[in-house]
Amino acid sequence: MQLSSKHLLLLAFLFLSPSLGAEPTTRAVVKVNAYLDNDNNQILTPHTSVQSTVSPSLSLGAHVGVDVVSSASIDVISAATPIGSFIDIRTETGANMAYSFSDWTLNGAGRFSTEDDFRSVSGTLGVSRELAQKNTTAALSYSFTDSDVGRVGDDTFNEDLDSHVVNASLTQVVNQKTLAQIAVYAAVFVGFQSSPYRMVRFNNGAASPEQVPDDRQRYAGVLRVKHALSSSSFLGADYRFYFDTWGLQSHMAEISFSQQPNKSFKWRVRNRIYRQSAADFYAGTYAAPQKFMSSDREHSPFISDTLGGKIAVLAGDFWGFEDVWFDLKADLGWQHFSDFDRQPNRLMWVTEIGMNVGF
Amino acid sequence: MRAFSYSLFILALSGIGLQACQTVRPWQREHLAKPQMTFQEDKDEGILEQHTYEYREGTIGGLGGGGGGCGCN
Repeated sequence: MQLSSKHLLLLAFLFLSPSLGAEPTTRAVVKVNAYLDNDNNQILTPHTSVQSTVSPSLSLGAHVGVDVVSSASIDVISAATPIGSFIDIRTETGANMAYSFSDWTLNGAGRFSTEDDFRSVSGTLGVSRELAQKNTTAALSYSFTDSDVGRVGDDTFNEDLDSHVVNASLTQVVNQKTLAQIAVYAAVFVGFQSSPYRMVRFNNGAASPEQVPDDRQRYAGVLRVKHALSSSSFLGADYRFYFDTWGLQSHMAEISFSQQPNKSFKWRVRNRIYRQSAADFYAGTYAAPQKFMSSDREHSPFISDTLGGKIAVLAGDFWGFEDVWFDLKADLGWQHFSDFDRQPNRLMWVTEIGMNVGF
Repeated sequence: MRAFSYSLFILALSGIGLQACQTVRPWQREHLAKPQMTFQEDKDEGILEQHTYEYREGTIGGLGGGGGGCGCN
């Protein structure tokens, strides 16, 4: 018997229905994220998700998101087939589950995304275990992603990209007010990783398609700390070091402060700084053709600073729901590219509104 | 080699920190139980945020979040 979409929807409803199972809790989230920058990029991202604790041991979730991208950036203007501007729509759907027994939790997730020139399917399997009277949590996961890269206006262009990602983490209760986590990320990307559109320029004015290696191994180590200053004030600090086989290295540090002065209001401020080196083969312009060439500013050396704030308000009784939070976030980011003459500075503005309903 | 040294330094620092840990009982977790004390208080915000950083920076990983799409336009 084949399962139709109606059967799948009915199954999803039965699993997510709060009237079934032992004391289930369900949270539904709706967000709209807007990104603007001074390089003529505008991205609007409506996103919704639902996460339900069906029973004490089983949790299920699903999400849908859409990116509506409008761009007339210098990347588009200098592309292989310059069109001045474009509008693209990317759709992503995903589902996840977690099953707990004893001190163990097994989890899995799947995701599918598609846009005009890109299709991606991924799956994740993970396991975690509570140790030392639940003072330590060890987690390990593996993800595989299969992507097909195309080029708008060229039906003959079809390239493949696979990625294998392993994440491992250890979360430790340090004392009654402090939590720490160390995490390691290791990934192998194999396949087409150039842009189908991006060109590199030579000193004599000629241009050629970007060409980057087909293999890329990527590694990151992360240290994160959370500390409660009081029962209502909290500090967070994250540090990440990253390196890969293309010669790129980066340091990221973020510090945040959040406070919940009463039951119905909370706020957060934070600052994130980031610095990266260049890929071995990056150049703004080339004197002569090389095996690997990229003028992508994301492969160039740059520094970045992001300052942001967020507030969340408990709406109380709202349309019959008692647990409804509304939130508003604003981030202002600045990137300085020391070896990208066409636009040395990029200013970015992110605004996000959200609603989080518990029932 | 420099990258490997950085990784070893982080691991060593973490190891020293773990030595100082206390065993905290369930009834002593008033502060730890707050949503703000989780590393991903707002999972959906994290997914959207990491997605943005993946496209605006050359490096990724280690902080959770989603993705998909090449961002190569």
